[in-house]
This record gives sequence, structure tokens and C-alpha cells, in this order.
Amino acid sequence: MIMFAKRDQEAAFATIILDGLSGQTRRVRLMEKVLIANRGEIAVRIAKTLRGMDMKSVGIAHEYEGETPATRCVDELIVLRGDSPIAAYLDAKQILEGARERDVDAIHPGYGFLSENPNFARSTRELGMTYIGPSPEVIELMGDKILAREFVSKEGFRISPSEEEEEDPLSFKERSEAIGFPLLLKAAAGGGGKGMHIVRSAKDLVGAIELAKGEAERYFGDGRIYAERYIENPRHIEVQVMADKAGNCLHFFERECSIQRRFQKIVEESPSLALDKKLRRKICSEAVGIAIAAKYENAGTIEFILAPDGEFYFLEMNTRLQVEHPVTEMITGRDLVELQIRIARGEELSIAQEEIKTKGHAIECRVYAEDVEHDFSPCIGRLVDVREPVAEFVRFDSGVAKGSDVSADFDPMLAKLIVYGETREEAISRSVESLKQTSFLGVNTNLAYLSRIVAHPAFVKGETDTGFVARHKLDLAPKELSTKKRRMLLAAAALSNRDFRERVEAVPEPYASIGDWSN
Amino acid sequence: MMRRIRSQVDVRSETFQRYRTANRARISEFRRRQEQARFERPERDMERLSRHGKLFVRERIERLIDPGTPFLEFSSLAANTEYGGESKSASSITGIGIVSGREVIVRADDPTIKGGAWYPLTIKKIVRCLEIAIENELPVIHLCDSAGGFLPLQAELFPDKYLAGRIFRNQSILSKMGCKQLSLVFGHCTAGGAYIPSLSDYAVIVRGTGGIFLGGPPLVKAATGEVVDADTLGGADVHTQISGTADYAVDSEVEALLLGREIVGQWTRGEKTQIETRQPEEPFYDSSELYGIIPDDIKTQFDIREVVARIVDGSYFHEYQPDYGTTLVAGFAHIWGFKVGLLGNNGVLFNDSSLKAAHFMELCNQNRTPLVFLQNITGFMVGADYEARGICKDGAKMIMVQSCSEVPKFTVMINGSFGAGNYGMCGRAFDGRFVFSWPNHQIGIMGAEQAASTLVDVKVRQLERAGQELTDQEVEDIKRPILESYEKELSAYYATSHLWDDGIIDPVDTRNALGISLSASLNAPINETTYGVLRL
Amino acid sequence: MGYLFELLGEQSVIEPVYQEEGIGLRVDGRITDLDFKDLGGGEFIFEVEGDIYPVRIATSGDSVFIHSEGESYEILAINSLEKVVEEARGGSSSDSLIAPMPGVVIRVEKKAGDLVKRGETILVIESMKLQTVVTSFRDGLVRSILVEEGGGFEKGSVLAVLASDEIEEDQL
Repeated sequence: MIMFAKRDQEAAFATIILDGLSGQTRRVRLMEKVLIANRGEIAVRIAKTLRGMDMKSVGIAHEYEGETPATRCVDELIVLRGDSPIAAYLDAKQILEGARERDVDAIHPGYGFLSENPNFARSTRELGMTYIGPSPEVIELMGDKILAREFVSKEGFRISPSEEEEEDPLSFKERSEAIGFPLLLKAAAGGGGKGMHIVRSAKDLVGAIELAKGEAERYFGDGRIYAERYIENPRHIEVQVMADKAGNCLHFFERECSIQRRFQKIVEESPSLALDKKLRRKICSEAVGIAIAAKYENAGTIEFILAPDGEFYFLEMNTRLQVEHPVTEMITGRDLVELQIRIARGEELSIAQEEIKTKGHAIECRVYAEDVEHDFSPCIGRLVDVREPVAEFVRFDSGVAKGSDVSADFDPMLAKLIVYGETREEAISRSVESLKQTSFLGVNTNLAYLSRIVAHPAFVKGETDTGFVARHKLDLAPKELSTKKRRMLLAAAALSNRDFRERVEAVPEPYASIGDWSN
Repeated sequence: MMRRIRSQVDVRSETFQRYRTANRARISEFRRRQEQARFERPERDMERLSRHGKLFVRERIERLIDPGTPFLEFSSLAANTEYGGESKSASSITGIGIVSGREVIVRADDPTIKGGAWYPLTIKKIVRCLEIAIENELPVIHLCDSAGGFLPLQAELFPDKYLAGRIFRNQSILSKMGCKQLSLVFGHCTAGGAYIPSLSDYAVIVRGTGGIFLGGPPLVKAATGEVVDADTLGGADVHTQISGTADYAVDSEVEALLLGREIVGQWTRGEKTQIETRQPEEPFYDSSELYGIIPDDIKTQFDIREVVARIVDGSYFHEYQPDYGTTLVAGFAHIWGFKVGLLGNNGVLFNDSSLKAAHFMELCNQNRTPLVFLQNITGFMVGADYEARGICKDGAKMIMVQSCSEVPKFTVMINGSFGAGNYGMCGRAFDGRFVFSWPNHQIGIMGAEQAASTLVDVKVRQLERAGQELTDQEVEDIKRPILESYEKELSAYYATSHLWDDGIIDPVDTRNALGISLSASLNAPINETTYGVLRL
Repeated sequence: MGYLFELLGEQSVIEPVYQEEGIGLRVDGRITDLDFKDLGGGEFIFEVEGDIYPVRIATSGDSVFIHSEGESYEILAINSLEKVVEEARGGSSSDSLIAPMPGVVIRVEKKAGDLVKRGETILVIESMKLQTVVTSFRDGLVRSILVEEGGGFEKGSVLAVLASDEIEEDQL
């Protein structure tokens, strides 16, 4: 606990009494003002911790955006210019200039945008500011999927069999075939599910390679691809790690993120039903091992594929805070953002691995503006009404509010519902209840879809893997509207429609009372 | 505030049942004729209608008026006894309805009857409908689709004061009064018909089918030799882009109707004349019991209060002078919440009943209470005694006060209307705002029997002077044609055919018809009443 | 004629049924017995044909959004006149944004592949020193923009084309 902070003359460092009782002190980087290089719910979430730590927050927003919860919750705001809002959030130069002008001490990148851009991390440091995250070198290493796999494999950890095209493009097809089908073709610079192709037989391979290369080039400006063994119906297990400058590395247990659509997670939970004590220990220590090997610092997540037979393989490492980090926070009672900040300013992790304990069960549901009936395509519009769930054991991290415009400029995730329960069953039933209570009006969302997932008997039984959504497609489709309910909705709508009401109420007496009559 | 009428009618009585059977038969005959007038059309004409993508006139009206609202149709059986019955509803539909929340008169041509050509009675119906608009200061929506005057009968429809020209005169007067007019031109407006949209404040014309021209293509060719098609001559684009005769061109009838609704929605709603009102309520006694009250024989007397009890709100009635001049029942009541002064007949008019009526109407005028007449009258009492007591003088008072009344007047012909009783009780000639008849009603200078006997009597006296006598056969020969022609001409169907009223209504519809009429009448102000010189 | 509302891609006709006590509704020709209680803040309890539905309602323009039993619905009030006019002008040109007058393009705000909401600005044109915003007449996807910033056009020229159906949307 920080009891006291005194600013040094040179203003870059401060002496902080780390422990009020022992009076132990340590020189750490001064951090009074942090720029959040992000938007939406994660900006709000980071600002919350900053406020709790008595730090000033600086937000960023594009000039077209207007007021959002993220701009409202920061102490200062830098308005970015640029051809498009998304370009502005990716404009490292402009953001760093703004940060310097505002005399910012550190930058938290959040997730997405510049969070895995090594040059941004590097420039931040070069300008004398603290980057709340790992070193540029680790970001670079783990950002390149091929390099990451090579590194992990070289360090003696398991990766799924794979072949890179670059090694020898001419033999790539043969080498890929040798791995065995089904195969997954991926972009080396990829992420977010883009540019991935499943190939089930040799005859489709050549076409798929062409397609994957083209997409990799288009989406990431990097045409390198690789092929890896595609594990059918695997579970997606990831481990949260946290490492400090001194080389202490702790894990915060796993999260299971098997419920995905379009290769993107929509429901995450912890702990995973698929791990027993032994397997959990194994997978978590492997994650810590990888982080240590990489000389990792700050918060990171190591993702694994868990095959039905219990084998697991390194998938990738995310060198940033994850969207689903609240699941871990809920069961461990730790504020991961606070830990990130403390580590970034030089504090050591003073807790032992054994002190990190989990309690109960947490589930996160990601609320997206999307049309679940049309292949989850993103939806846009203005939120005319928002009702957030209010209940004990329910956390709602939202980046939008009534009046927010949901545009095609950004990722369509609106909010996250994180629910805690003593047991998984309790977490499930609270999730279903909270999802029903939550309403976003004005834009299509997947709220109802999420509650159908969480309430699904297979989910309840823990039969979760990445094929879940496709397997239960029919069950998860919205049930047909009854004609009675349709009449209710239409009647309610008509009575709520100003034009209809005005027309109907314009009819004078006695005509209205006489009604539908003729002589 | 008022006592309820205590009905004396025994609905289980044999008489009630008998009357009800008779009246139900009358109603079904009325409905049959109405159905025929409304929907029976030559197949050829209906086919042409759909070929041109046109809506049937009733569908046009249905789509025009606000959903769920009433339509009070006038004279649905106009012309039913004329022109071999081919001019159904006199080839035209008129009525009051609500469009975009505004009380309006709707007047529609019917192109399924001789191309919508105007028969003499069509003219009479249109003129009357515009007169209603003038008297009650109502806007008018014209649904135009007419070939123009029915040429074979031009002498009966063109030259006189209340014939075709009166339509355009009335349109002009309406405009001067500030009453809006909208024309939706679905078909041709030829010759005089062209002035209907031209004299309207707003005109919408349908591309392809709508046309406005003083002379149609055949007439143009005959007159000047110019060969031109209808669309070039006076189609939608010509009139909305070049001539400015119409204001909006649309692609379909539905679009015209919807646009028409939007246009009406722009009209300013004026303040209505305020009269006494109370929250409306249904009559305490079921109005369908009227069927068991109106006798099966016109000569049978019945208590008018039983009728009042089934028309007025809550069956409440404050009777005025209950013990004086008892053959005329007068009193206050409410219809759809509007306070009215009611006058009804319980027999022939005597001196005292005439004076009572005159007195009561004066009260209503001073009170600004509209008058409702329920006519079931055989006339004023005759005989030396009554003449000596000045029955003419007293009847004149009633007629004078009634004629000079400034409050709106409404007449329902419920059973019989004969002789000068018709005058005293606000017959057609006395500018009542609306006159409705029940299907059983008879109207004439006197009953058929009396007329035949009177004529026989005259003949007998002529022959007597020559010392001759009439044989029974000769009496019969005089009587029969009189009885026959009277039977036809006294009937409500004949009366309504000639627009002597604003339509036959089912007795159970009386309250609604009067409610709408009352509401419509209050668009016009009520002037202060002044009288002529009363012979006291 | 009743009033048109669209729910889940299907249109329904709603007519008022005037009654002594308030207004009833006829939905698709069927008189719907209903009652509701306004709890304030957009929350209502609707009772329809004996069933109770707690709902949350918000409106925006011609849309009414209703949240009921965990599901959200959008009901669109359709202006019949507008619909009839659109249908009449419709056909093959219905995906095109036509220049209402000659002029020059000031700004192009959308590009091919962009999702647009009905009423959203696609481009801004100027004619006779007056700027006009050209908006999308329906929700959809921009298939192509046929003009460039600074470029001129004649009255009636096609400025932009929306993708005609969902199949195209999927392909993109």
C-alpha cells in the first residue's frame, strides 16, 4: 500500500514508502498522470483504477466522436484529428505529441489499437515516459506468430506441429500435407481471426494457400503464412501471467474462452471445468515458464489449445491486458490494472504464487452490436436507451451510454458483463438473469444470443469447445415470435409512436366515440 | 339534472313482437336496396375500372377517411326510383367523415355508372351537399371522376337556378367563406366538371388516368379539327407543370388519397360554436326496441316519448309544459352530449300545441339550444270550431318562429308528414341543416285515402250541379289512379329518390346520424334570432 | 386504411378502435385487447389478451425499440405515402442515389463497402452556392460511389449505388 510519495527534485522519480509499518522505501518512477491510449469500456476501466490510485488520467478521442463514457471519466482529454477515427487511434505520433504536451508520465495502451505495436512502446520510452506493458522486444517477438512459435518451441515447450511457408515456399504444400489434415492456415502477422482458413483435404490446399496469402497481405500488409495442425473441437485455455522487472513471474490461473464466433471469444470463464488440479498446475507453470524464458514484464496472457485428449499446445502470447481480464479479477480479487501500473513504475511483486487464490466462479459475456442472424455482422446506429444490470456480484464494464453512436469505425463490442458466483451454476443463473435485465435499444445486439448460450444445457454441463456455436446453431437461433407477442409488440410500438398517436388522437368527438360506424 | 323517461313499453307483448317483425322486414328491404345501390354495378364497368388501375369509389372513400372513424353517408338511395334505377345513389356519394382529424364533406363521382356522368338528380345531390358545406361551414373533398353532364337529359340538369351552375356557384361561395376544398382528380373532369378542381384550393391529379379539360378530345376535334390525346390535352403533367390548374401530380390513386390526407392535415381547425354539452352516454333503453314501437300501420298512434327514450343520452328528458298542448311533446335532452330542444308529435296539432311549440322554440333560440324535430304529423286540426279559435293564426306563429330560428335545426321523419304539419315541424323547405327519414315514413300533402276521397267529393259536387250522380264504378275509376300514384309518391323511397331528405336511415342509427349532424352544424356560428311580425 | 408498422421484416396494419374507454387497436385485422401501465423511465407493463409483458420502450425517429423478455425488437413506423411514392419511383433505380440538380461534389463521406443507416450522409454536393447533403434512403451497404470530390455532375446522374441485397453484403 502506498502511504506516502515525495517528489524528487529532478521530478522523474519519487520515494515511495511501500510499507507503512516497516517504513521500507524504494525509489520508483514517478507516475502522477497516465494517458490511456484507448477508448470504450477499457478506457473507462483503466481510468477507474487510476482514480483509485489518485492518479490523473488523460484520455484520447477523435474529433468526430463527441462525448462518450470514456471521455467523461478522464481528467483531461486530447482531441485527435485524422481522416478517420480509427486512423487517429493508430496515430502514434499524434498521441505521443499530445502526451508530451500534457506532461504525461506514463501511457497505458489498453488492448487493440497500439497495444501490441513495439514501435509505440519504444517511442513512449524514448520520450521519457513509462509504457505500461512489456518491452518492445517482447512485443515484437510475440507479435510475430511464427517467431513466437519458434521461440517457444526452442525453449522446450509444446507447440502444435506446423510448417512455415517462408522457409521454402516450393515445398510448403508438401510440408503442410505431412502435418496431416485438417490443417489451419494462418497469417504470421495475424490476429482477431482474420486470414484463418481450415483445410480438410489435400485438394483444397493450394486454393486455400492462395486465399490465405492474399488475405494476409491485405489485412496485415505481410503475406507470410504458416500451417498448423488443426485440432477439432479444442478448448481455448489461456493463462494470465504477471511479471516484474526483477524477474518475478506469477500466474493468475486460467481462463477458458472456448465459446467463440468468427474466431472471436464471446463468453469466457474461470476456472475451466476441463482442468483438474494436475493439469491446471501443468498448464499454469508452463505459461510462467514461457514468460520467464521471454524475460517478460508486466501483464501477459499465454494462450493454449487444449485437445480433447488432454494434450495442450502453445498457441500465442498476448503482450497486453486482455478483454476478458475481469474474469480473473473476480475470482482472485486482484486489480490487474493496478498491478500493471505498480510493475511499470518499478515495484516488485511482493506476493508469492501461493498467496494467489481463487474463489468461486466468474463468467464474462461480451455484448456486441451485431446481427446474430446474419453471420454476426456488425450493426451500427444510435443507442437510444441503455439499461445496465444492477445486482450484487455483477460487474458491467461498458463503453457506451444512452445517446452513443455505434459506428462502423470501431470494434462493435459495447460492453462486458462479468458475473460472479460461489459455484458455476450460480454464476450461470446470475448471468442469465443479468443478460435479460440488460437492454441496449437502438442497435441490434447479441444480448439474447448470449443468454441462450449461457442457458444452454451443453454450456451448463461444461461441454464447451470452440465448435460450440456452430454445433448448437439451431438451439441458439432466436425462437420464432408468437403471433400474440407480435401483436403486443406492434401495439406497444404504435402507442409509443408519436405520429400514430397524434393521428389517432386528432379524431374529434363525437366521431371517436362513434367509431367505425356507417349508416 | 334530468329525470329519466320511464318506458311503458312491454317488450314481451304481442304488439311489440308484431311491430318488430314488420319493422325488421322494412329494414331488410331498406338494406337490400342500399346494398344494391352501393355495390351492384355492370360487370363491364367494374372491369374497366380495374383495367385502368382504379379503385371503386367506396374504396377511395374508405382509404381517405381516418381508420376506425364513422362516415355519415347522405342520400344513399337518391335516384332509386328514377332513370330505370341505373343511376345508383344518383351516381355520386356524399357524406361527412374525418380526414386527418378534420371534419369534412366528401363528394365522390362514381365512374362505374355511365362513366360517372351527372344525371339531373346527381346535380341535385351535389348542389345539396355543397349547400350542407355552406350552411355548416365545412371543407369539401371532391373525388373527381366524371364524364360530365348526362347529355340526353341536359334540359333537366343545365339551365335552372339550382342545376349544374349552382355547383360552381356554391364552390365559389364556399371559398369566399374560407372553407377549404381539395380535389383528387382520378379520372376525367370534362366541361363543367373541369371547374371542380379549378375552383378548389388544392388539386391532386393522377398521372395517366386523371385529366382536366373544358372540352375533351372528341369535342376539340369537332370544334376546331385539332387532334390531341387526353393526356396531352389536360393530363397530370400539363396541369402541374405548365398550366398550374392542378398542384400535385401523383402516380397512383392510393398516392393521391394519401397525399390528400396529408394536405387536409395542413388545414387550420377552427373554433367550434360552443353550446351546452355533457359527457355522452348511451340511451338507457336499447335503441333496437324502436322496431317494436313503430306500428305496422301508419294510422296507429304511439307515444313519441318512447322514441325519445331510445335516441337521447341516458334516456334523460326534461319535458316542457307536460300538461299543456299535449299532442306536441317538447323538452330538453342530450344527443351525443349535445344539448338539444326536442319537438315530437303525439297527434294532430291544436291551437295550444302550436302555441306551446312556438314558445318552446323561442326558448331554445334564446338558449342557443339546437332543435330536433321528430315528425309524425297528420297536420293541424280542421273544423269550424278550430278555425274560429284561430288555428291558422296559431299555426302561423309556430311556422314563423320555426322558420326564423337561428339555432341549427334537424328533422327526422319517423312515421308520417302530412299537410301543414310538415311546415310547422321543419319540413325540407325550412332549411333544417339535415333531414333524415325512417324507411316506414310517408310524406305528402295528405294521405292517399283523403286525397282520393277529396277528389271524388269534388267530382260528385260538379255532377250534382248538373243533376248527375257517380256510379260506384266511376268512383272506383277516380280513386284507383290517385291511390296508386299516392302510394308510390308518399313512400320514403320516392322522397329520398328526389332528395326531399338527406337519406333514409335505420331507426337505430338515428342517434349517431344526429350526433354527427349536430357536431357538423357547430362549425357555423349561431346568429341572434329576430322574428318577423307575429299575428298575435 | 390503417397505419403500417414493420417488425422483423414483415409489415402489419394497425388501426385504432375507438372505444368508450380509450383506444383499442386492430392489429392485422384482429382486435387486440390491451391495457398498459406506464411505470416511468421508459418502463411499461403491457397486458395483451390476458398475458403480462414488462417492457422497456425507447423511440428514435420512425423506430420504436422494445426490450421484452431479454430480447430487443425494432418496430418501424412506415409512412404510407412515402412508401407508395418510393414504390412508384422504385424498380431498378431504387438502389441509386440520383442527383436532384446539377452541381459539384464537396465531400464524399462514405466509400464502397461501408455500412450505412437510412438517413446517414453519403456525400455533400453543392449547387447554386447551396450545399445539399445526400443521404442514404435505406439501411444498407454502399456498393459504389460514382463521383469524386470536386467533380461535377448533371441533374439525374447517379451519384452512388447501394448494394441491392444481403447476398452482396455477405460477399464483401
